[in-house]
Amino acid sequence: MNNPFHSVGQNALRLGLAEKVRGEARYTSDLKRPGLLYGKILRSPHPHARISAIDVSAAQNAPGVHAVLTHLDVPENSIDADLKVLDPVVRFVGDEVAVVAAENPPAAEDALRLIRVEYDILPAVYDAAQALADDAPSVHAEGNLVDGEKLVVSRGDVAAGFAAAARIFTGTFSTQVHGPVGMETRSALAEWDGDRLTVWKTSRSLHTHDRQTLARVLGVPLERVRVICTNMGGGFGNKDEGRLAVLVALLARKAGRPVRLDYGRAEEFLGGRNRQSTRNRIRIGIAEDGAPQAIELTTVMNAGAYVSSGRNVTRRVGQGALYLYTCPHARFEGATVYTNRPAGGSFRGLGAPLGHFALEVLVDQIAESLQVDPLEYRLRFHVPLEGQPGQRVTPPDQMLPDEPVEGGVPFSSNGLRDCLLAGAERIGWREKRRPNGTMDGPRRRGLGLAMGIYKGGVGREAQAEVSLNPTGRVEVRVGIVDVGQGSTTVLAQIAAEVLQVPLDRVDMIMADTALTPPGHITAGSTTTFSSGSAVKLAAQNARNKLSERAAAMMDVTDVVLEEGQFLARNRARPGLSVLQVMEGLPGSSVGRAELKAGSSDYIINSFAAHFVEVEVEMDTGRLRILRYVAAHDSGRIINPRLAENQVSGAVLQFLGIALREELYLDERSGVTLNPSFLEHKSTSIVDFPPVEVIFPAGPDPIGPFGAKALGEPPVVPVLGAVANAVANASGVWLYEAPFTPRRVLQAIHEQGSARS
Amino acid sequence: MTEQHKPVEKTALSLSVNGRQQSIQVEPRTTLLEMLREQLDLTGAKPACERGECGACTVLLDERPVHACHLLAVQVARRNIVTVEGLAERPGFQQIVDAFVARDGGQCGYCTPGFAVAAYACIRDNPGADAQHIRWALVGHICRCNAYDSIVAGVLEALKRVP
Amino acid sequence: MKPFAFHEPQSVAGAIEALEAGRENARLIAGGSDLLGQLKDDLVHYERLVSLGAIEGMREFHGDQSGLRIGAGATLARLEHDPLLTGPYSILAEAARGIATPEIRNQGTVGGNLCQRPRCLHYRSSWISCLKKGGADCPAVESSHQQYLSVFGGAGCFSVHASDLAPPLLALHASAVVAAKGGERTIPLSEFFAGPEQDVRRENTLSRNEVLTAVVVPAAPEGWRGAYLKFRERNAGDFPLVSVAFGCSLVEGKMQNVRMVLGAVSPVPRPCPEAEAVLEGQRPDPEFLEAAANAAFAPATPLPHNGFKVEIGRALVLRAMSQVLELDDH
Repeated sequence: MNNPFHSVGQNALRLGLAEKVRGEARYTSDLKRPGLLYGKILRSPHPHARISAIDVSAAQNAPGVHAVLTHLDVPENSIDADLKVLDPVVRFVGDEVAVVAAENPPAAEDALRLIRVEYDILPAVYDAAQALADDAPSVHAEGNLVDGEKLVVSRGDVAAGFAAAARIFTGTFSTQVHGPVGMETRSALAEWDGDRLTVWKTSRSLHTHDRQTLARVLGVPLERVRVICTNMGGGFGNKDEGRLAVLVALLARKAGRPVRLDYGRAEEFLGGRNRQSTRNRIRIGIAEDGAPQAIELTTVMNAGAYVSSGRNVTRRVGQGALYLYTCPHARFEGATVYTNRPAGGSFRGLGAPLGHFALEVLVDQIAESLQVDPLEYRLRFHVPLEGQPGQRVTPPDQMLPDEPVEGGVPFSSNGLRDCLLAGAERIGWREKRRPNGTMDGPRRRGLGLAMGIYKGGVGREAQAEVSLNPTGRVEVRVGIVDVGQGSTTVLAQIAAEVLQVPLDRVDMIMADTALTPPGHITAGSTTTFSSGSAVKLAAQNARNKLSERAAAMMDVTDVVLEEGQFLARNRARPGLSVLQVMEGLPGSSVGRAELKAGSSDYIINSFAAHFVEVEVEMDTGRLRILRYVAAHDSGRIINPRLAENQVSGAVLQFLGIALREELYLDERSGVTLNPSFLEHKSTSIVDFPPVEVIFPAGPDPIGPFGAKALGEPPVVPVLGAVANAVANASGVWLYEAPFTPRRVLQAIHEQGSARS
Repeated sequence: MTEQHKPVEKTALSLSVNGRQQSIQVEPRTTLLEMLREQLDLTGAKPACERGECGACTVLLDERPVHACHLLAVQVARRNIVTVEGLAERPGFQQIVDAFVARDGGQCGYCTPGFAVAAYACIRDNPGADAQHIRWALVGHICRCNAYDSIVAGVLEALKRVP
Repeated sequence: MKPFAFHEPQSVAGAIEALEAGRENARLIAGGSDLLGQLKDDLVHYERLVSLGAIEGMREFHGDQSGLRIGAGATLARLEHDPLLTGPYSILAEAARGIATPEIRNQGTVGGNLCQRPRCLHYRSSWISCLKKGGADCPAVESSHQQYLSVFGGAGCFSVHASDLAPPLLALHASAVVAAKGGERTIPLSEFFAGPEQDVRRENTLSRNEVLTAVVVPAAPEGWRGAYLKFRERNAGDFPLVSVAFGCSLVEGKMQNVRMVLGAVSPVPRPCPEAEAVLEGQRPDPEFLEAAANAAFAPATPLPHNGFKVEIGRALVLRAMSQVLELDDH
């Protein structure tokens, strides 16, 4: 394809990768400061208890120990609505009880053993349904239903829709707990200089979360708090909680020396935030011709002991059911429930992959029942560019949600059909897929597919500054954190595109509250769209100033910029290169931009269709992924190589979740049994074949250079695609993920081996 | 019964790190990784699993890759350790760096030095390795970004570039 | 990890001496792959560790007509690649290649693999008390997470032995060489392992001041071929849910010297004499193979949540037999 751009759409090399390969890039736990102390956390051995007494005297007096903090020593201000700095009540095994700072890590660990805690044991509850019972132990005083009510979102009248339906299909689908656990564990380093605080932290939200929380909880003016993330070893929607930074800052203040605290791996599984379990009941009513008339999804999400993301994770469970298929009536109901499990939080895709699992498997069951190829069914009934039927509810001049519900609003772009057709073509769907799989006997093969819809627009307010310097360098300042996905490179490409300078002229300055304008959290797959739009606009503003300068230097009234050259309007050559004009600047010239979130005209969403071929071992329950094709509409791809890597990685990450990854809780003790890469069965390099990634859709009219969201959409269809392929291969439907040999065998026994 | 332990005694440890003889005082319970990172400030080997399950801390012990997090420093007395920083001084490593960058063999980069050390050993021992061979050679390494396909492409590219 | 002293004797005698001097609170460390995890989680604590790392003789590796002698200190990586491990002994190389990861195999030893502690999730959790850690009862029997537990019972403790080397070594009728203060004894490997009915806190019969110094493998029967199959959740870097070592020789179309040993399904690796008897002297017809697989698991008494291991085990046994006998449908 002809690329009209010089930087956008190019496979620019990932910035900073060479330093990472050589081990030179410093992450938070690589940092040291003079006089550095090491922190450790004492964690609760009980799932629910009140601390009745705590004695830290021995720990405080131990050699090398400089500070010990318990709930008696910390500010009253809460970190989140349901989370204190330290709490006399502990709510899961691994909840934080006390912290110490010592000369070296072993001394800190030894000090933990010297802390004497007496607990009044409280009754615990682990199951969400049980936690909603009237006589259930209360995890929080306000009750176990988060926010005191279920979340209900609807369009049309589902009762009427079901009443009018020719047939109604139902299914109940469950998913289990799994951990995002980036390779880098959480870490924070705090250093005080008088009343000024600097915190280096693994954080995907320095400006909007950590800095605010630190200032508020510690009672320090915001301008005296600086938060930095030098490099981030994986985010995946995690690492936004404020507690760690606050604890380390308090330790450093008490010790009078800088303190660094690194989580261990087990702590990351326990004290980090996991995707919690759900139980999803779905109903779809269809007309005679198969068209969906009413879709209803009810979910109960076990949120664990705290919910850093509120009900956002639950809300996203409903995304597919509410919007992926053309349907006049749709309703989602979600209960988010506190239990005495480790805290839930956001993890790539939030609830979306879980709800899509239920939706996409039930749709395959409908197609099978109608004896329609599931690809044809989807081509017929997927939501089109025009969006859902019905009347727009949002007033015309107001911003539309990018987790849409209402009808009567078009998408900015919708590549679902492109994804379905291109993905089917790539995997050979029409040639290879048979209604009953492709093999008999103990090993059976089959093909499956599933679609996905995900928010993809200007999700967040965003700011950027672009400075053009007489040295010929361009400095881009954005407050966001590159969590590892490559936003540094993509934002640099956007700036280089606007300014028509080589990429190596662009310096990215990010993730330091002292050096950047406020930046949004790295979340909701919105960095390219939100911060990318801000960088583009800021660069345009800088370019406009430069154009004026060029015009003055060339002594013309107006110039155009073509291929890195400012030319007079009549395009008479020679002109002046961008770099020449920059080098003639008396000082830095800065362009700024500040964007509001949202679009008032369009729903901006990303789309995907995934196709997978599996082999099912009927005698052992083992699933093998033989091929995987991921077709994505994320608008124009700014950097295809990075994007392919990101999609491939996301698919592999979720294939692991689909087949294996699960955190087990021992129900007698409340202990998480397998907080390790080994026993969580984190995906290895030999578990799956290479993922085939394609981007068949065109540019979006709104996004920066036509781009839309990419980070999370690839995890959304995976569970459904695999389950549908297993059903095609074996005749056995899977209702509970992960699809371990144990569960597959159980399903084979329960459903019988439909085809032998 | 008391939890208070006897004062911790350090022992003198001599070994070679990146070709330089080192004499270091360590507690016996100090892991090789802690010693490298906190005492020698060689932070290229990363802590990630603490028990030999992920490979982010991989170093060469007498030229063979091992997990520095899962060895006591005292276990490697008198032996030769090469970290990723030491490899950077060796011929052939720059090509690995270039190949990883060319094929985008990493995302967040945290596991990448460990992969690079293992890739170095793989290429040295199996100059004719194919993709499948490379995967099995790197199987001790977890990448939670799951950039595995690009990492394999990077090592294949490095095989072409390393003389 | 709690503090400890580290001793590095130069000889086996020195190691025994250091163990004795350490009384109850000394422990051997070889590669440390298993022990370090337990120390880090405070599952166990010792006042002194006695390293075998400096004892060159423990890395011996010999082979001739009469069999093999493999030092307990030989690394697992050595097993993967050693040219001695061909023919009937290739089953050992095959098993070694499936253990953990290349980095662990560079460090882990044969002795360490045989002396590893159970992978029971409850045993491995520092917050949970269990029989093996001196607790009052077994919390795992009530748990719904029993994939790493026995399907052949246990004496109160249902943990399994997860060694990948033990089943093939048992199939080869290997012996353990054990050094003590008075000298050395050689015992059949089948007598080396011991289940919870003997001592719930241990998995073998080594006494406190003894050192496993080598394994000895006798000459294999003429034409004997074996296979080791391991069913695990991940394709690599994982312990078995079920494993099986199977081997036999074919003489005039009939199976002889049939050996079958199951791993990861019982407190100690489990030889299957009943299954072997079904096959011994028979032609490799499907009916016998089916009968042998059934015989291997007929005594199984799975726990409420691990019956699926029996099913997988049967399938795995069938595959192992098919592979060795070069039948098509494995």
